[in-house]
Amino acid sequence: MMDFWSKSHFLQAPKTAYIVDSIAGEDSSAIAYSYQQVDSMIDTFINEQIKPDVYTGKKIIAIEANNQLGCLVAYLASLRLGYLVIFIDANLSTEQKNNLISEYAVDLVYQPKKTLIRHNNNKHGQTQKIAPQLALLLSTSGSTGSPKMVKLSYQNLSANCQSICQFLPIQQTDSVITTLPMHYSFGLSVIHTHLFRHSTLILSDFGVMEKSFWQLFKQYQVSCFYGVPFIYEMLQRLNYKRLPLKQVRFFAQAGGKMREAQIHHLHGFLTDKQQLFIMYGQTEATARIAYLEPAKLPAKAHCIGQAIPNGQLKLINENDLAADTTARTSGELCYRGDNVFCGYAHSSADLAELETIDWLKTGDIATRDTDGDYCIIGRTKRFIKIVGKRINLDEIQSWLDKRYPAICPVGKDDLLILTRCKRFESEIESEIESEIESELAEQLALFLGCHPRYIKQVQIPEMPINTNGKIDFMQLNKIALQALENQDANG
Amino acid sequence: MFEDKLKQAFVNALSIEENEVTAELAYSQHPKWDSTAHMVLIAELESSFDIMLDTDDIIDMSSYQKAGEIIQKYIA
Repeated sequence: MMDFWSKSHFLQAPKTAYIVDSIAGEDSSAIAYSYQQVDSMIDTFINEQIKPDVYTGKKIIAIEANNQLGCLVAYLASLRLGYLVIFIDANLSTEQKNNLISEYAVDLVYQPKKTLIRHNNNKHGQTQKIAPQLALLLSTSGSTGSPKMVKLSYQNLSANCQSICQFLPIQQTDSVITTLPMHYSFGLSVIHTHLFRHSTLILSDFGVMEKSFWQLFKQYQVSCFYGVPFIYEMLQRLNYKRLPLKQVRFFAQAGGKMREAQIHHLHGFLTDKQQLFIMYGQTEATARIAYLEPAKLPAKAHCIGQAIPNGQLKLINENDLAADTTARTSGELCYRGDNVFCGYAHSSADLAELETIDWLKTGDIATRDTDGDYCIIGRTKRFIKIVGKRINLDEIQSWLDKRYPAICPVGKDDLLILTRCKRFESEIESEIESEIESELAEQLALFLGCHPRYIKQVQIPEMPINTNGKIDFMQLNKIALQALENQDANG
Repeated sequence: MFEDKLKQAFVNALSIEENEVTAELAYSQHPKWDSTAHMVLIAELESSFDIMLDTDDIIDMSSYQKAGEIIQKYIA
């Protein structure tokens, strides 16, 4: 099977397949290129910018990601050369970007519409040791600029792309528009799979709340739609009935659990010819892990279904033993497949070796029903998702400790709650307190790159402590949610 | 009155300062006016003016000035 990035794969594409750059024209209009034209752009980029015959050896290239053709060309060129790509969120501050570039001793930096920057001018060989199979480093931490990265191999990319193409009915005649950033594993998997099927791919950074998005959508008769729960929330608010969705053949959702009511609402608008795929995954599994057969909706809207083709799922208990799933017990969901990542990296020192991980522990607690479908019921790890972005509560804790001690973060998806014990009784002091509170929410929202409305603060009588003297997070979470409910009811 | 209400809705929804709310304020030009903020803004406008915005109007609301024109249509 041919890799989606290879030259021969691009040359074999039918002339009716296009890669559309949404703002390429002089008046920022869209320009459609054939796969063959994009192939020659990749050649040009390799020969005139990267110059691998002068600067030999495996290089690390940082790509500041956006959904424009230049970025895709830089990415595919790097894969063809067997380089290691590190995607950088364009929304990070210059300081955060430079920090990542130096932590990983990056050789080349690609920024949209700029000349390639060369850091290490060493012409021969590689300046540091990088495992030959290593293809990509992706961040899991939203927009905090943390150097912790997921290591993915060429085989990981290839395997996950092929598995996804076995269950999603993507065809050559399909047309897809980007709705997610390229540096996000879900967004990237959409690009991989549609390139693999030679379908028409519209690269755009417009959001579903923008007119330009829907103009492109109509113009190219988009037939496959992907989104995280928040994107579907926006579609629902815009009203499915009023949107030009008739020619869409399937909708697919991943990037966090979508509320059942939302799934039912969307399902209610589908015609007989339209399908909805509820999917589950993690960056640690390149992107995709499981999906629910569309025919099982709407009855099984609470499930994530079963493992993708060529993958396996199982549940384990606290002692790492396979849980007895016949007894409807819950356990930590584990996944095995060729798309399981090769370990984490924190700096360039971690790039020489690849870890072999047999079963990936997802950190999610699940149950399995008699049909073999899995259902997520909780999490072992302290993280929540805000608008689809994973937010590590421990990372927030260390951020808080440096600035506002004695505050503990808990919460659920799309709701981060900062808890603190009640300290001040007088009104004047409460006023000072509320000023600090609004400043804190503002700063934290900036750090996390999210809207402050997802951050709430509550005061509680005392911190619940468990038997080993640590904060009981499960209990604290319950108290915080309850306190927030009371607070909302009172005012 | 109308102008104040409109301005306040933008200040709340985008969590920006009042002096940042100008006729030139536009979607995806200001770093804080992204799709999440747009959703909050729609809810804020609907509740302060007690209206229900249509699909096309939500998508058309690409600047502060445009928002004013659209809201006027509903309360006229």
